[in-house]
Amino acid sequence: MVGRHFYQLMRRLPGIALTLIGAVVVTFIIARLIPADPARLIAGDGASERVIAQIRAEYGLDKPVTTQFVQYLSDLAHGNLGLSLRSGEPVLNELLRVAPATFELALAALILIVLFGMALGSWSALTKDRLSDQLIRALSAIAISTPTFWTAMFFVLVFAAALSWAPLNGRFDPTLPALPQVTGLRTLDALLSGRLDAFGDALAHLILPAATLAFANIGLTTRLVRTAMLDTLTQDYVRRARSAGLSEWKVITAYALPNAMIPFLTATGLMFADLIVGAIITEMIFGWPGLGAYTLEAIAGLDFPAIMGFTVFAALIYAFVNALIDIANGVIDPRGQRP
Amino acid sequence: MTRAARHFWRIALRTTAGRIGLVLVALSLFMAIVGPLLTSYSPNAIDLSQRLSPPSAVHWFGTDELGRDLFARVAHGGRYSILAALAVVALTLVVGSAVGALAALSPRPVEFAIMRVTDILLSIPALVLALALAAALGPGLLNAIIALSIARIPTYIRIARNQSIVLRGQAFMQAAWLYGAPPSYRFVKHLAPNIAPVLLTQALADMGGMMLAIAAVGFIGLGAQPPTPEWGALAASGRLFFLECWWYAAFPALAIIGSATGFNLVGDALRDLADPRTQSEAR
Repeated sequence: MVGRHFYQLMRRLPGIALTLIGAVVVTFIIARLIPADPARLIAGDGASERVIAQIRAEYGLDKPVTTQFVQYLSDLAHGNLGLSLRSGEPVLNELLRVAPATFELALAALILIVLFGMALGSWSALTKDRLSDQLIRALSAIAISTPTFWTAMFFVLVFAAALSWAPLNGRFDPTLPALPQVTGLRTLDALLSGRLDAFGDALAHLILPAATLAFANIGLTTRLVRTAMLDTLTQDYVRRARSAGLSEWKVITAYALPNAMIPFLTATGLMFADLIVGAIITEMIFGWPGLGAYTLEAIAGLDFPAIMGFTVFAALIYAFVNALIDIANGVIDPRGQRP
Repeated sequence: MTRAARHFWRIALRTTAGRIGLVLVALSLFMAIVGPLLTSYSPNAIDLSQRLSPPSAVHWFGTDELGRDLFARVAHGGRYSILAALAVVALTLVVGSAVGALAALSPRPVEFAIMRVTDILLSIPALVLALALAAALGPGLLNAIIALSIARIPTYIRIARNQSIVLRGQAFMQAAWLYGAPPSYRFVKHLAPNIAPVLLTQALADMGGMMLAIAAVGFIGLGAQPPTPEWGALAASGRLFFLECWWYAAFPALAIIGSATGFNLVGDALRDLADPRTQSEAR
């Protein structure tokens, strides 16, 4: 069983590699060809010609574009995303250092999305056109149309500033004794080392950013689950289950929900990829030290190696998540699979 | 009114959600077009004696850190936000449909090349692509529009091409081809009218999302620059004071929520028509 799915993943690797090379080409074009003079951009306003010439030589920008591209590709093949212009550190190391924080945030948001999205979506579908359905649909529509920055500011204003239920920003209380790094996910690390104080602290810091990141997606998921549920509830097998005298609860949990899960799974997988790369504004407002905040600093500092590194990293995440979704769909819904 | 326009109104007005959506869209447009005339304040008139004052009868939405009237700024900003979103949607619609349809009509190698490039662009998350482009082009509302359009065009190419290859095999298209009609003629006379409804629906459904995207890029600082009162940029300056002066960020945010909800509801009403399963009983 596992062997076959591993084989399926392996078979997709060439495709993933090709997509990534394409993404690298696009990234290269964006960073090197769109700015009229990247060296001047790096040097900043008012830099002297001598400094600009020096930078041009240092980054190989005086060589032909094709040479530059070959150099960039060969660096990438060696796992080298270049050096950050701001810190001088390898971009790959920096991305790997901040990635766990974003991963933790996205995972927490995903849990909220799945829980609330499934509950609200099912409730909405089961009470179709009644008040609860109307209310849930209205709230979903508003949630989808709310800019993330406002969700974040609103949560901070109400739950952190006014009610003091959660801290204003950051990832943990720096006055607590240090935690051993195992997974990089603070909540998990705290549990693994049996430190309940640190776990509570990490969770308190996590909840508002996670809720912010989840908010609009809960609206989307609620809709999706509602549509899928309405679709399955009219199917013959559900009618058969009902006419066989099964309880409504059994009909829903054993017959309707599993089948409504298929479109939901694909959407959730893509959503997780979106949560990882799309946490920029959430991380900015909550001071969450992850990929989003890192990218934003890179953009502000015109740190092109870092921006390019993040873009390639994001394309990699997308490619892998897409491959995994296809395989998972094959496991859940074996129709359409080659024997 | 043309038949298509009448059809649009009938669909949009059929459901409660669609009606609410139309009202919200109308309100946003009213705010952007007539709003600035309702107040005697100029959006850029500085009055330091009135800085950061809360909403009142004099300043309906309060004032900002330079004492500028926020109602005037939000109303004025609507022009930038709505027009910018409209520009992105129009650009993606026109370029994406044309490239996608022409790909379907082109010789196989050309089609293959166009679709591979499209796939590659689709493999980079749209938000990341847009941000990288906006960063490379430099901050500014026009550059943000270009960046968001480029990030979105591949989706339209896909839709247009998929719609077109279905039509390509139909008898009337084959007949036109057999009679030696050039691709441009087949595109304008046969293909475009048939793929337009799907693409226009998609474009309208995209308006709300694009308003949010423009605001997000503006909020990050890559879009409209001060003192342009674009809603995202306005909310970003409001963020600096939001713990003490909630109104500064709240009113631009409410304006975005209102108009984005409106556009999204209208878009949903149109999309639901294509998928009868999601329909509620019309009231």
